[in-house]
Amino acid sequence: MPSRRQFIKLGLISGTVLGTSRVLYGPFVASPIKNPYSYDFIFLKELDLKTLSQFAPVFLKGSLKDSSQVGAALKKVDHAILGLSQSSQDELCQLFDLLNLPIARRLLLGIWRDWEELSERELDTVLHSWRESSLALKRSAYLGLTELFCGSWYADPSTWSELGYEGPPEL
Amino acid sequence: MSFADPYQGKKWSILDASAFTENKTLEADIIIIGSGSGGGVCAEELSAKGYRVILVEEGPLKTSSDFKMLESEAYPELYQESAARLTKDKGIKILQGRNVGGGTTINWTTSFRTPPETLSHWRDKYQLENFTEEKLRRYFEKAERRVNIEKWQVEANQNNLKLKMGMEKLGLTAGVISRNVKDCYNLGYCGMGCPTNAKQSMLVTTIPAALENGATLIHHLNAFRLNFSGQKIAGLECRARDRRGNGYTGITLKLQAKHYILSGGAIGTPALLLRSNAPDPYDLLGKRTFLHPVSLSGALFKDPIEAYAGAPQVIYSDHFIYHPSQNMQESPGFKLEVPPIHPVILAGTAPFHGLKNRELMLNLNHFQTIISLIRDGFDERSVGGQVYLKGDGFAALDYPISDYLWRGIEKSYLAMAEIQFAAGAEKVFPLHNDAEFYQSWAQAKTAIPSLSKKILKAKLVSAHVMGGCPMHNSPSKGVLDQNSRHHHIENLSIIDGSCFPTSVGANPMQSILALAYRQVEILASAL
Repeated sequence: MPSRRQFIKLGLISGTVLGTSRVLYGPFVASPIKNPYSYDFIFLKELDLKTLSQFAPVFLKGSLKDSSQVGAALKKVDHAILGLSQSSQDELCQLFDLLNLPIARRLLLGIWRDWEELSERELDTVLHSWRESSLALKRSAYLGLTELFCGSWYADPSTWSELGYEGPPEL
Repeated sequence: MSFADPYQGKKWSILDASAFTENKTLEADIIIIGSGSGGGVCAEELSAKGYRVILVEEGPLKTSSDFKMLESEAYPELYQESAARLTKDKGIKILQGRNVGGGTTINWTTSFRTPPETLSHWRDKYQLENFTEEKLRRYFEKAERRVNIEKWQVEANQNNLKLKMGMEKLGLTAGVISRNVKDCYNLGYCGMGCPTNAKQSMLVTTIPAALENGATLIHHLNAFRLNFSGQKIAGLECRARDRRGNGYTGITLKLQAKHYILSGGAIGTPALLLRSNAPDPYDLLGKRTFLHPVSLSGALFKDPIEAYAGAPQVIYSDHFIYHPSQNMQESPGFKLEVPPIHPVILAGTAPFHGLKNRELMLNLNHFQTIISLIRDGFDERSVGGQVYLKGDGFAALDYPISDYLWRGIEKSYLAMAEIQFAAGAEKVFPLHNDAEFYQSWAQAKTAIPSLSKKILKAKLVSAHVMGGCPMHNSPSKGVLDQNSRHHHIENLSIIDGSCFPTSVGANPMQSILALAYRQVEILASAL
């Protein structure tokens, strides 16, 4: 069980590391950014998309037919985030910074390689370790991302037929 | 089929603050902040007596023609924070309405009078001597007539029937829920707004009546701060929400009235008072906020369940609260009900990803769920949470879970699993990171006590926020007197779920409606 002190320490480190990296990487822009997908993204930035594109096939294993659906999955996540409160959006921004930036990832998550270098299997192991972690921060990241990826995926009526769900009744 | 939208073609005074292009000052006799069960009743009653009423709502005005029974639209449009509001440590997800009609627009229509055991606790511990069944009867009845609360007559869906069947197999009793509906089509999408106007929410009952009486409704308007002059409120500063409802347009409104009623719910109301630095000499404001924390147990049945179709909540049981066999010294009691299950909520609530999440989704039609609503606030080991303000003044709730509550949660997992197996479930899965799909009651019974008692391992939710501005006749123990008048501010009443000194121990809508009928009657005679 993590002590409260450990947790606070982690919080402080992440604040400092992320604060520094924000200075290094400059302020976050609010206009749609260039991306390899045929969608406009409003919340997710280039680096977020790069990172999350590695996670999408793992969170949605079996549901994504092939890699061409990654962009659609990310667009749904982007859309879901826009409905959240400003403070939740700020927290997600911090989480994505933590995932994106090598120094934060190494110090806080103990992951030394880039996400691209990890196989789906290895990423799956990382997710399981967050899920089982004694740190509430990691568990909340796991549950938050699961909700964003899996929940938003099934908001789309095109995903319903294979569930045997016909959608809302016709009135 | 088309359904008449009660808001179409009416010449009512409805203002959309998101469209305002300049700051304004408006004046009325009475300003009501929040349009859920408390605000809706107050608006109708006071406008009927000839008072000039302004009803302020932070959320949007969405009506039956907008309700498409889609999770993707309903959560962001009709709920606080897209139905993803969390307690401070993220341990509990809070479902709260944010729209004209508040919780009543999106709740599952479950209606209970305040349990007599709750009222007697309030009389004994909080000196609310007028809160007897006898004295409240006519207010409960008034609520029942106004929103058509009747015991549900149609057969329950399978999701509900499994609860009934399991209870009966175990020799325990379950009851039938009363619902506030009229000519209900038994669709099952109550949580996304009723497209047929069968649900007798504030949106289709008290608010149209208040508007007909000449009241003004302003939506997309956030009540930001009360300004005081001596012991009185001098005015209310409001900020216009943008169309999406998450930001502000920069336009401000000043509202002035003789009397103010706060009905923004048990997070919004204390938060407004905190932002306003309202007098709180005994440090009570926003404390003792209760949630009925809910634990969930899923089960797979061979026969179809289709928990998205049909009236969402029809069967309940209070066995684990009031039956003499239950040891309340050790852990809190809990009320058993079932929730409707739709795709987004299931995929997002399942505590696993990838193939396991997908497998569960492919079993959507066979997935049954029981929920336990923990009755918090009735024991000194259950003191509830604390509403506080984040840096930007945004309201939030810190609700730590005590060991005493965890014992209730463990007991609830055991009870729900036993009932589900008794009803014929093939597998039972408590929604908890440590749990598996158990194959038998014997396996579940052995495994459940070892599930870790930690937030973000156990999936916990709440749809009932109560307390934080409790009534008590002594100013040192309550924010309000037992007529909902603020102890330290002359022209302020609070009429919503925040008035309760504990949780209700049952779905709170009817308790709030009845409270509102009582308090507004007393207020009107005093004004």
